[in-house]
Amino acid sequence: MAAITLIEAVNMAMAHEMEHDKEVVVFGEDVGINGGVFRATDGLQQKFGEERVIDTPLAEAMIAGLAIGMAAQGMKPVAEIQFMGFIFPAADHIISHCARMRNRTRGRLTLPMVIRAPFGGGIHAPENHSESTEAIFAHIPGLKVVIPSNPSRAYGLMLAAIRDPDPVIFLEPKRVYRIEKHEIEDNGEEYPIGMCFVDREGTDITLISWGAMMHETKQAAEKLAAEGISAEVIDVATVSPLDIDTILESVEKTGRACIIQEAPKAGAVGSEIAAEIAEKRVTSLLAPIGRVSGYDTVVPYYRLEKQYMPKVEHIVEEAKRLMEYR
Amino acid sequence: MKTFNLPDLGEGLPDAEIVRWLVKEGDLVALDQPMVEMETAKAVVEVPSPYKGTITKLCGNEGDVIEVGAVLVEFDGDGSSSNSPESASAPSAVETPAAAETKTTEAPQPTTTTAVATDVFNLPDLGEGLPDAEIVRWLVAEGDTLALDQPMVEMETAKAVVEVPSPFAATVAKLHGQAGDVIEVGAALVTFGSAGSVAAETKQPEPAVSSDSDDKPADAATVVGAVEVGNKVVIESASAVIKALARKLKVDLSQVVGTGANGAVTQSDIKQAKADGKLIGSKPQPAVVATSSNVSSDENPLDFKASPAVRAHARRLGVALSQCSANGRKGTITKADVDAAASSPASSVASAPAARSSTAGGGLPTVQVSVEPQTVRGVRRAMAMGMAKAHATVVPTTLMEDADITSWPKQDSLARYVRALVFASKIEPALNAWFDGEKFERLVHPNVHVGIAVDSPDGLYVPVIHNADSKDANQVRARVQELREKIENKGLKQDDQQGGTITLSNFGSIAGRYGTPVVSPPQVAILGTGRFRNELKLTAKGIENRKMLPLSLTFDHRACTGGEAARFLAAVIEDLQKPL
Amino acid sequence: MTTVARFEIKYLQYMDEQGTFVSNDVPPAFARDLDTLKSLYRDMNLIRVLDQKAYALQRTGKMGTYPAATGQEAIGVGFASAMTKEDVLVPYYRGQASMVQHGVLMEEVLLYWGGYESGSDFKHAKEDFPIAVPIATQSLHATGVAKAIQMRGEKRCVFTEIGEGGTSQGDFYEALNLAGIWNLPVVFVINNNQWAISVPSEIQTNCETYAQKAIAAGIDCIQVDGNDIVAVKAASEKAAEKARNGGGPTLIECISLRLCDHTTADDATRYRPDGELDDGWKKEPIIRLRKYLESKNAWSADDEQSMQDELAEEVKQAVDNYLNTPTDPPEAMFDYLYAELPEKTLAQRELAIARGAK
Repeated sequence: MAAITLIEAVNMAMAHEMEHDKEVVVFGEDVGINGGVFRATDGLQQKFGEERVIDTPLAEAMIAGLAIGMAAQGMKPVAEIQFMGFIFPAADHIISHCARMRNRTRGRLTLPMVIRAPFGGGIHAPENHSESTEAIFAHIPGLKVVIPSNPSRAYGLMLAAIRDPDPVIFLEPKRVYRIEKHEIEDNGEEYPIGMCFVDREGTDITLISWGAMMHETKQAAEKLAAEGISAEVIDVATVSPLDIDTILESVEKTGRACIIQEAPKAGAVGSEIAAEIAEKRVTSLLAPIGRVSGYDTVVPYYRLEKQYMPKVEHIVEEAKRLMEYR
Repeated sequence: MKTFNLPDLGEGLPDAEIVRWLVKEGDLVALDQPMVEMETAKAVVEVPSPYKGTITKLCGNEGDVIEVGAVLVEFDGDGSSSNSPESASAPSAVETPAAAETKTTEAPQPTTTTAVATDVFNLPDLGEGLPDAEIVRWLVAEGDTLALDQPMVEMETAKAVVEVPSPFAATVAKLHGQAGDVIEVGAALVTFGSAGSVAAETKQPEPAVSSDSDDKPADAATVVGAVEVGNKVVIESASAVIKALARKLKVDLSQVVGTGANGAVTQSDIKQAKADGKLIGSKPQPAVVATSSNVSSDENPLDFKASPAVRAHARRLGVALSQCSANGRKGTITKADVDAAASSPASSVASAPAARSSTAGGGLPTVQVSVEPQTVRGVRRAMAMGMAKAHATVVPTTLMEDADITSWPKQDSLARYVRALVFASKIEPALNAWFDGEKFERLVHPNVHVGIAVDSPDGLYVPVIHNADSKDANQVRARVQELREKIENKGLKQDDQQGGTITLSNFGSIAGRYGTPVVSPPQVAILGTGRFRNELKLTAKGIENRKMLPLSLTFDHRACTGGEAARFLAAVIEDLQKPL
Repeated sequence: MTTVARFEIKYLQYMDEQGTFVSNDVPPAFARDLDTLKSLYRDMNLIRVLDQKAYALQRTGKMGTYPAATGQEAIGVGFASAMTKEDVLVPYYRGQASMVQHGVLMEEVLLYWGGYESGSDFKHAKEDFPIAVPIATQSLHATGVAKAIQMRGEKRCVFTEIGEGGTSQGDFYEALNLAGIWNLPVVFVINNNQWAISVPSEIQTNCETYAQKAIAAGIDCIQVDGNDIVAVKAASEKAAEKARNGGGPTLIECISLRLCDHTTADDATRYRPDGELDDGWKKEPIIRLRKYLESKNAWSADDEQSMQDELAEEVKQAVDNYLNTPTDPPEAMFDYLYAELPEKTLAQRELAIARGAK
């Protein structure tokens, strides 16, 4: 068992599946000899050869379209889009074809493929490198959008994503790629896609988050505990399709919900969660639903990045505001 | 010689006042050593020395106001400036006549180029998110004088060998580490300044050097940005995943026996349980009772279904949700329920599930009128619901009789009515009672709390004179007056309306002889007093003009017998007919 | 200055509009087999009848929008007749000729345009892609299929069709580029019918040919007379053979003319120059092959009549099957969304059923 980071866990999961399933192929820009710009595919080409770990030309639409063709033939492509900010040329394929193939062929052609992309801010990157646009894909029926928050989940969920019979958009929160290590046994044990993980049980308020923001959220829960507020913490992990039952169950128990996301507030995954709670559990609420999020602005260039990102104290502040309602 | 001119110490401040000098002329000061306290319009701040050197002149006394840009301190000519980038943007050295004078009178200083200020160059993030780098080869030696951008060292990352140039034109005082050492980003790489000054003045943390060349640096590479690197190892509890998987497969965890280490439940256990049919619902679940550490009252608000707005409304009215009936969809407490509880004296014992609201229906018939129908709210709505509830449950029977009050002196009749109810309740307690028709429970009250029906523009209020049996007429009058004022001022509290055991309706103060007043459950009786009248009556003395008070007693025949009611009414009359 | 590279674009035509073999090139073997030519003649006519019938269905409210391929039958029939059953077709929206030729049922084409998802659940052409409506995306899907075939070392290839307007899309160039680098077993066929809805070639590209777009990707290309089915089929057979044997991709530009509207929802008289159609009908592919067959005494008026009767009956059968296909129940919206419908969506499925029952 090794103590590894989130990105190493992604790598370990891909290596595991390549070892055990010859249909799994990895491709994208700079994924081969360079091992990916974040090193997600480090060593894979050396281990599995250029035939299965392939450097593609620099064209995102092509990467997605290629994956669709291969997956329709029963292969299991794991395609990398280097940064989520560059995924939009591929969006036509992801939205117009990937999400629909099973439906429009009545299950004749299916696409067991994964599109990986690092996403989110906080790493002092240039423009178009820091957005959290998960909601765009979470809005599309037929896709699954998975966001691991820590190394164990990256390993377990990546295995599940590759094995999933349907297309999975696997978004990796790059800010926390290397922020901590988990002891992970490379045993091939997947984590369930489509389920939330309850990371901390509490009775007063439910904090709901995913991806990198889980780190701030967990710290906020600690601080609240020190002030006598018992927070339940939920890692959504699969932002689409949403495991809303786990969230509703928790809110029913605590009576308060606070959603924490890095993305802008409007039209986001958090909006959907808030709407579901309002639609189905408003009579269990003791307080309004709270949201801590990025601003509805263009993600600033990195000089202002820290100002943009929600922080632990913002979560604590909002949770305490909600606690004032009885 | 150098001068230090007062910089803008705040944001756009024109000047500052010298509070206190911390140094004197002739002192040798170190870089960043505090020299003077200055007071600006915003704060008192310490101003540090921008140079290492000897102070030749302090330009101003305590209390003097110095303008931004004016000379504050002069330094000896041998005070070398630091070569830090900061000094470049600091107020530039100005040769004043005074300084020139100093120069001529002082002995020439050794012409050393050594930068005595100790500038430490820390290994930067080489732009690719690397946490550290290995020294391949030094290109300079300690004591070398370097030009700006002169290559100093070759550093190796996992991606490339890069040359690191000098950030200053300065002398190398110390090289931190040898070829093969791994230097963490942020740790010292090179110290500039005179070699001799380093040992005494370096305050930088020791470089974190790992000499173990096998310890390959973790490659946090990215083409852009910098990824935060942590070495904290976290052991993730498997329980969140196990619970999620159990939920996904609809497995009842309470039925799963763990086969993992220390009896931990594994993913295989969950899958096996699914195969064995140990699913949710296959065994009765123990009820999960939520507890909240932040609920102040005894009741747990989560035991009741109500929207946040309704909860807020209940808080405002001081109504406990436990005292509200739940007439909303799926057992939800509505705002109307809260209003009903607020205005009903019975609310405190509304333990029995309330009957469904009778307000459901098809709305008003369509007619041509010049005004729009208005939604009935608040007290009026509570009345509507309360009356409907009474109508739906109570079996009312009304007895009517007159009391002869000819002998009354001029007095407040209301207090007499209350007294009569108290008196009658002692004689026949069965009507001073509460009745629960669902549980068939009857509670005969030892004390008499008289509800008084009060008409108001808002609708019907029934405030309560508590413990009327221990109040004298004055106290009753005072209480009635208090309640009237509260109604006028909309200050009637829930407490004022709760706990009535029997009710009085004095409709006769307006009009009406007899009536059929409505019993408000769980009470079982209400006395209506009509408009009194003079009546010619045949008495032993012949035909007399008597003053008669008509009485109407409605009782719930589920709870009381006709005999009890008649005895009660007789007792009321007996008391009323007393002169005093 | 020196020349570092030089390119030329070949044009292939065997049979002119009079049905005469005019090329100096030796005709391919199949062109000497009159039965093969008669079969191709029949296949082209089938598509024309199908298109006519589809128009009638649309005009009578029995089907939605439909894009006919009138005048371009030689392209789809020609290249698809060069495909084996094992080859994979990745069609574009005006692809009924190649689709039917490669085993898609006519009723499936009608079901597709009639609003049934099941129209893309091909009974026979199991690996063929459904029609790609967003323009040019199919070119990239074809490279993906070709990559899978290549990785598995299979001796088959992929054909994908595109309109000349679609070649303006980046996806098309990205696909050519990738196919070239990776030497993929894929054949790109451009149906150059000279119109992208109302936009003519002059304002679609400044290239002299569409075929030359392959030059930039470093792959083989050829321009053929798309109204000459012998040329289309010959070029396609050659390209397919090359692809199946590791020789890499080819781009075939087939020049034809759209003798119909863009779709049933279009009115080409708004933009088509006078006289173009008269000229076009003289050059269209079916008549010239008939002239050739007649010149060889291999086709008579009686043959024509009985063939037309047969085709009408075949198409009628497909139309009947189409019209008799019941509409799916509302839950069909959900049943192929994922392998397993998410818990959250199950409730919506129930709702759709309940609403549908009213």
